[in-house]
Formats: sequence, structure tokens, C-alpha cells
Amino acid sequence: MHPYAPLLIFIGLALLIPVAISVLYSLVSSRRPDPVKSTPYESGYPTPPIEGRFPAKFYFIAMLFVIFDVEAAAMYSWAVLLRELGAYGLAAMALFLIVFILGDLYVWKKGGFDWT
Amino acid sequence: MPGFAIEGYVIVSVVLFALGIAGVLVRRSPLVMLMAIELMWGAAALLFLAFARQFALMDGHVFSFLILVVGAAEAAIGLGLIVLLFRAREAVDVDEVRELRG
Amino acid sequence: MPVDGSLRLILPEIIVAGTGLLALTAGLVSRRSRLPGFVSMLGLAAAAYFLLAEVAGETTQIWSGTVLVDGFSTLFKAVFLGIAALIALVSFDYIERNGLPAGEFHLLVLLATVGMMFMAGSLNLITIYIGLECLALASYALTGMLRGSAKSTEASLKYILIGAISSGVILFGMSLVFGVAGSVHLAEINAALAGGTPMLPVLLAGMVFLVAGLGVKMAAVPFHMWAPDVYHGAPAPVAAFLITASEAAAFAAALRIFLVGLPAIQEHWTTVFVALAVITMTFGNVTAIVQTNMRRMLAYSAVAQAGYVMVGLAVASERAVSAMIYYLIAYAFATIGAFAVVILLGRYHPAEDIADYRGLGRRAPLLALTLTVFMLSFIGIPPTAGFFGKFYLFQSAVAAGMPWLALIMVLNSMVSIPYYWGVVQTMYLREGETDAPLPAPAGVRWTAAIGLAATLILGLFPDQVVQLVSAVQVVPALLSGGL
Repeated sequence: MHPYAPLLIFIGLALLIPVAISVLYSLVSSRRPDPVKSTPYESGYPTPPIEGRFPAKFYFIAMLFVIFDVEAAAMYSWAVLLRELGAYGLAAMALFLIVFILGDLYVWKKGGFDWT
Repeated sequence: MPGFAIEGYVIVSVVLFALGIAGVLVRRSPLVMLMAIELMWGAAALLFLAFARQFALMDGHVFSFLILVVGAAEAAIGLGLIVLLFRAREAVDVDEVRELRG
Repeated sequence: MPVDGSLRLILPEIIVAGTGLLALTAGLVSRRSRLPGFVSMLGLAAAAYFLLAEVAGETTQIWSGTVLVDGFSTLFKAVFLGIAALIALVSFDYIERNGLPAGEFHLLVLLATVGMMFMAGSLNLITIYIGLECLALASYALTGMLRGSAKSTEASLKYILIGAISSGVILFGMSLVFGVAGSVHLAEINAALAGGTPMLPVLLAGMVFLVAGLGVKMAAVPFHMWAPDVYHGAPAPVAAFLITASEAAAFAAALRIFLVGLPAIQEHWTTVFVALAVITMTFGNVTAIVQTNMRRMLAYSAVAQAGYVMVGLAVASERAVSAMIYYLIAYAFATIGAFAVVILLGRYHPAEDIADYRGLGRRAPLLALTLTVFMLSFIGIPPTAGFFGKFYLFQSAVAAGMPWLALIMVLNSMVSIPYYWGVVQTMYLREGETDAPLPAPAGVRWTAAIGLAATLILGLFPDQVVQLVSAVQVVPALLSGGL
């Protein structure tokens, strides 16, 4: 087999899958658009154009969550080996937390924890 | 590592990676594109874990953990940008973003 | 892993990162937007001092081979520190004028610098990857820093999407190489592959992914789509930073990965890089001709320059590597100098069209003259640094038996003359709407002056610089066997 053959197979696979999904999608789904269906609907009221008030808060909470989540994961892997790592591990973790807390203080100062 | 069949993991990982690329190419919402990209990263992390198990090496585990950490940071920045973009013009479709041309 | 004094060897990185946190704090507590900039420059100077006084000359691996200190890494680190300091210098006025948060700006520049320093200073794929991401994440945020500007946000979004895809591709390539060689350390990968290449197809797939992923970071065609938009939309100092430092870091990492880790399949990646180099320089130059916007012109010119540098990667001889490093340094100074003038002009003409440079020869004669020198350096006219950079690359290609590649380089340089020279003509031969002199802030003047001095010094004493550069080994001496 030619050395580049698996690569071609791989690229072929990568192209095939999206095409297959799109084809499958258009085969299976039924689409009968009419004007009423494609208008935005909001409990029977006429919908105003989307503008302004976009709840960025949720995005923000999600962002903070992701960061705290991973920080907890890092702490967890350290905690498992707490005794083996000893003082060095403690010092390294303290350093990590100092940087992390500085980041927290920054978010606090910028009003990031002001969720009301 | 007796009884550890790596082929399955490699196949799943390649399929995940292909799905990720497909998602990036097909979808136009930056949010979904970021999700598809995470899929690509996950595929690489899975492959690292499988090989780490095969070789009984810690390096692959460390690598996959760091991929998760970086992925979180990336997602945070990506979400922040999408919010910024949405506030600026309510466009959450990459095809609507076309100030820069040439 | 005890604390055994090895910390001393990455003290420069620690200082830079610590300075970043200090700059952020300075930005929070002080209303004076210049303070973080001064903090940043002081920190960079301290880091450079420690780098040259303490670390230079050492060649050793620390921490289970995750960090490597050698001549190559020290040279690149010095270059990164220098570029970061110049960016801090040139952005004082820009930050004030555009109301950018100074603390955050300098923090991100410094963190990106730390990332680049680790990219050059390791043979471990994990460390290289973390360095790469540290650089990438900071640059996404830097690109989107002009919050009021739709262009900046758009550039940032494009950058993060394409950058994240490229990270995924690099990761997948790394995992495949790891799967074949059974190690994430480049020297061990080389040793594992030295006796023959098992699973060659998988290894080649990994190599292709690595080339594609790093190609995105180098802005090589066809992975360059993000580059013009980002270099156009990002804040001007950030664009200068990305064009010079980020690209140099990508080349440093690529040199290590391919020359140290994958020499076993050199014939394969050489083919790929030759093709990429030819496509990249040709596409960059041809597209640059039709640009009417100064920054887009410089962006496509950056793509073309990446193509020239890639010639060195394709040749991959010792001579080619020192030519690449010389070229990257020369190009960095000229680009940052040119961007200093772009920043100044952008203050009065936000559109940044090339037509806005009309009459600059009268309005700011000294700056127009320096910009002329930079353009000559980009073209490659002696005695500027750009000429010798191209000359050395040309020489290395001929010596490696690729004269046709050298010929393509020369042809490309000729194609590039009209668009660079067009800027000079616009400055001197076309009448401006006004003859009012352009006052330049001190930071911009100094940056342009340093860029000019460096371009001329590198051009007047090329042999001395090359001697200095060629003492540097991509494959560190402690790894016996090597290439």
C-alpha cells in the first residue's frame, strides 16, 4: 500500500461524513415552509425586532463556571497525591492559587461577581 | 497491557475528529463551531489517553488533562467574543460578519 | 521534583509573567495609563538582563526534559523580549488615544511573550503546546481589544475560530506521533524512529497535521485566510506583534519539531515545505500588489515573507537555519519600524489607505525616510538587512542543490518591487492635501529610530551577526547523535 493511501482514506472519510449527514438530513426531514411558519412567534403577540437587551449574564456565568470547573480539576489531581508531593506540591499549588486569586480579584474589581 | 484493544479507541477518535471538522465546515454559528472544535480537541485527548494506556506512560494523561484546561480557557474567550459580537450587531452567524475584505 | 536551583534557568520567564501581573495591578490602581507600560518595559529589561547574564551559555535540560535551555532558545528568547519591549514602546500613544485598558494590554503582551519563550525553549511536545496556546489565547484577546471597533471584534472571532481549529489539528498530529513513537519528547521520538519507521502511514498523517497546524500559525498559504483580516482588524501594535513575534515563534517550534523530532522522515516534510514555500511567497506577493490599504498590503507582504523564511525550513541545513534566524530578526525590526509610521498615520487618517501617505515626504521627512529604508529592506536592496536575509536564504538553497527554489525567490522579490516602491513614490512624488507637519509622539519616534538603526546595523555588519547566529544549534549538543 502506498504510504499516503491511509491519509487519502482519512480525508475521504472526513469529507464523506458531513456529506452523508447533510444528505441524510435533507432526506429525512420534511420541509414545507409557509409565511406563517417562518415568522417568529411569541405567545401570539407580534414580535418586536430583536434588539438591545441580550442576557450576557448567562454567558458570563458560563464562562466563569468553565474556569472554576477546570481549576477544581487541577486541585483534584493535586489532592489525590497530596502526601507524595509533599511540601513541593504544596508550594506549587500555592503559587497556582496566588495567580488564580489575583485573577479572581480582577474579576471582582471589574464587577464580574455582581449578578443582581 | 493484556486485553487492551487500542483499535476501537483510534477509530472512535478518528470519527470524532472527522465529525469536528465536518461541524466546523457545515455549521455557521460561531457557538456551534466552537463546540465542533472542542470535539476535535476531545478526539486528540482520547487518542492521547489510549496511547498512554498502551505504552503505560503518564505523559499522555498529563497531555489530555492540559488539553481540557486549555479548552476551557479557549471556550471562555470564545464565549466572551461572541457576546461582544452579539452586543455590537446581533449577528451570530459567521457569514454575517464581513467587515474585512480584500 | 525538588527545588534545586533549576528555577534560576527560567527566571526570565518568571520575571516576564510576574511583570504581567504587576502591570495588570498597576492598570487597576493607577489612573495614569502609562504606568503599566513602564512597568512592562522595566520587567522586560530585567528579564533580558537575567537571560543574558545568567542563562546565556548554559545548555541543559531541566524538569524531566520538559524545559530546555540552550543557545537556540536563548537567542529566540532575547528576540521575543526585544520585540515585546518595542511593542510596549510603540503602543504608549496608541493605548491612550484609543482608550484601551493599559494594564490588560500589557499583561496579555507579556503572557504571549512567555508562551513564545516556552515554545522556543523546550523539546517536549507538551511544553511546546502549552507555550503555543499561551501565545494563541493572549493574541485572540489582544486582537479583539478595540471593543468599539467592529473590525477588531470580527478579526478576533475569525482568529479564534481558525486558531482553535489549527490547535486541534496540531494536537491530533502530536497524538499520532506520540502513538507511533511512544514519547512526547522530541529527542526520544527521534531515537524511536531512528531504527526505521514503523507505521509510516500513521506517522505521515501526523506529520501532515503538524505541518497544517503550524502552517496556520506561520500564515502559510493555503492556511493564511485569517492573516490579512487579523493584521488589518487588530489594534496596530498588536498586528505588528503578531506578524513578527508570533510568526518567529511558530518557526522556532517548527524547526525543533521537524529537525529534532522527525529527521527520520525528512524527505517527506521537505517536499511539503518546498511546495508551501513556493505557493506562499507567490500568492502573498501577487495579492499584495492589488491592495490599496496599507495594513492589508503589509499583511500580504507578511504572508510572502513567511514564504521566504519557509525556504529555510525546506532546505533545513545548518546554514539555512542561521539564515532563517537572521531573516526573522531583520524582518522583525523593519516591520515594527514600519508599523510605527502606520500607527502615526492612523492617528490622522483612520482609513490607513496607501493614498493617505501622499506628501509624507514633506510632512514628516525623517519618518518618510525611515519608512523608505524599511521598504527597501522588504524588497531586499543592499545595504539593508533584508538584502542579506534573502541572500543567505538564497545561498543555502543553492548549496542544498535547490537552485530553482532560489530562482523562484528572486523572481518573487522582483514581483514585490512595485508594491513596496509604490509606497515610497506615494510619499515623495504625490502631492498631499496639506503640508502641515505631522508631530510624532516620542514612543513612535523612538521605535522607528530603533528599527532603522537595527536594519542598517544588520545590513552593514551582516557577517558578524551571522557568526553570532550560526553558533546556535537547533539540535542541542547534549543530544548526541543529533541530525
